[in-house]
Amino acid sequence: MAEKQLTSWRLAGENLRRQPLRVVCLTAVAAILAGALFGGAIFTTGIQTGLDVLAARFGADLMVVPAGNAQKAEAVLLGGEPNYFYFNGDIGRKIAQVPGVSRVSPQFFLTSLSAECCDLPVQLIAFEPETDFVVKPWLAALPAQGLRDGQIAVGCDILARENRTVKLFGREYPVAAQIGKTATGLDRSVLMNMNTIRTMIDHAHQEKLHFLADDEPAGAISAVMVRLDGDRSPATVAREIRRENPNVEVVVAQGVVRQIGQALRRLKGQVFAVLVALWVVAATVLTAVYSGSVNERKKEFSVLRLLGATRAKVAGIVLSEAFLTALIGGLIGVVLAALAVFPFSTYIGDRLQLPYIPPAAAYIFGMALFSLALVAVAGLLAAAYAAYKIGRAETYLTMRAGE
Amino acid sequence: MLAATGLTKEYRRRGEVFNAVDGVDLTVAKGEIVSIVGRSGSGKSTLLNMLAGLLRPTAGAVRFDGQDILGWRDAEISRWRNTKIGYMPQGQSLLANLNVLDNVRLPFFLARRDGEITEKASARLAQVGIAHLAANFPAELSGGEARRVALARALINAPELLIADEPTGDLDLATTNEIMKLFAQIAGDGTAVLLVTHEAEAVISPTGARIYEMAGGKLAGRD
Ligand SMILES: Nc1ncnc2c1ncn2[C@@H]1O[C@H](COP(=O)(O)OP(=O)(O)OP(=O)(O)O)[C@@H](O)[C@H]1O
Ligand SMILES: [Mg+2]
Repeated sequence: MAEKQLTSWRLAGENLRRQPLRVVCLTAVAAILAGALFGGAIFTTGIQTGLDVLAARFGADLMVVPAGNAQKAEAVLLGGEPNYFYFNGDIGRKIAQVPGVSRVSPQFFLTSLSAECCDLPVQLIAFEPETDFVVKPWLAALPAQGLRDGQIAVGCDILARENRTVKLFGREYPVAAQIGKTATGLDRSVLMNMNTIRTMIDHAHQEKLHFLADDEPAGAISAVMVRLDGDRSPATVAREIRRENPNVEVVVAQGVVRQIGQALRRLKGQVFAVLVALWVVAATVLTAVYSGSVNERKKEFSVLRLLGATRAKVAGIVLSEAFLTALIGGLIGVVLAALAVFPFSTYIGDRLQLPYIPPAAAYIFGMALFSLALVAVAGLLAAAYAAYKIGRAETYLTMRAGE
Repeated sequence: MLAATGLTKEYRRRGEVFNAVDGVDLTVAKGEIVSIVGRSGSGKSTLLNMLAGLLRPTAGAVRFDGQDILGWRDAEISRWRNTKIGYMPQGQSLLANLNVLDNVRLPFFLARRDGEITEKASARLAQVGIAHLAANFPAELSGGEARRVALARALINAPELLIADEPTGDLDLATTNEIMKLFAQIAGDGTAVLLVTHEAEAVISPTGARIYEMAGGKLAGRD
């Protein structure tokens, strides 16, 4: 068996092992740096992904809703409270006449009773298969005819029962499809066609339930999804629609996406500012600690020099210590950040009203490596000044009594 | 082997310039024991540091086997110090984070080398009489034991010259005597020994030593 060599790494390791307090402080700083960088990057990237998915899924250019309900409608889209509101089905035909409108499709919103399938009431969304252009792409996995009467599709947060059904207003409906994560209201929505919801409401009537929509005579709807032909700007068409239909409000999809984009940019700015501040403070602290420890360890270094270590060797030991602490601290920080970000980011995203979708595993892995590398480099740079001081100093080499 | 000429180190203290070492000429030949006696502050450590190439003199030259060591680069002089010189610094000089055996092995690993050292290190510990302390840490040693470890460490690469700065500084008479006997033994094996002691220790310099006296940075022979 080969004997155990006293390499710079081993010397650094022994020094660290016997300086627990210093190691704890230095690793803590490294952990905070790496954790903040990693966590911040993963969180903001997750929201960026969520926003991209949202923009891609938001199939309509405009969403026309009854006056006074624009905010509620956005909540339905982005995942606030489930909501319902109605106007007359005729409105769809009128909107189709407005210049610049190429397709319209009505949707009907309802909320389930609480505690039937889920902890909270869920959003029910019914669409008209003949005209629909919004929901279909979400259900791409289904056979050509899409959702059949009596079937439902559910968002990713809705748990079907064991027999792949969901109970709504006292009856079970088979789940034909589950939609991937969108980080929007869709995740907690149940989709079905108009026939299905009509049957559902009839059943509910038999159970002596009453609905707001019952008051609209000619078939109530909640929203008209509008696709434009591209010649006129969404804002112009929206103004036109409002002028001809005084009791509607128009949600412009681009506007919603843009708003979230702005919120995301603000968030990124804040995260970036915190990171910069953290890194500046930490770089200062680390540099001070390392160059301070050179004075404290003068004697140790002069002994090494007396025994024939080159300046480079002594500097190498100091750099090895810095590298090791940074790496260990960085690892701890990344793991802690992962423990904080992964379970809670969806919740935090909800609180900030921002869609969050976990980034791809490859990105997470790459970001972890990048955070570690950056912290290691920072540790090395902070110790570099100390190493330089050791290389330059001549006076400390003189070993005198009492030192 | 080692020859210093006109060695001078100038220091500045509160604006006042003085020579801590002042024009010292000194030679040490193979297998010889040279003992320098001087009071505290007379410049002994400063002189030894310059002889070992650790401290750059203000004036003068240091030659080893005819070569001017002051002209060497750090890598060369470090390698030379590591292989040809064994240095026992003044005071406690063991690395607290390493055990006794590793402290002794350390110089072997400070330069690129092949081969094994652990057995040799154990043998050196036995030579200085503390083989049983190999696994202990410096904090657990007495002053005399620590000096023996430092001596074993200085000898580990089989140097040609052993430099010892007050190796018995705060030891009792009996222990001092034992260590002095070790120095005589080492010199007998062919290693030159350059020894610095306080005046009080002078009386027990190893027999056969060439003794110098140092005062105010100047070195004078004593007969
Ligand atoms: N870097 C320095 N700057 C200024 N003065 C110094 C420096 N190093 C040493 N001196 C002074 O030079 C003189 C010689 O110091 P040195 O350490 O060589 O003495 P010494 O003979 O080894 O003393 P001791 O027996 O106490 O170890 C002392 O007066 C000391 O204060
Ligand atoms: Mg001294």
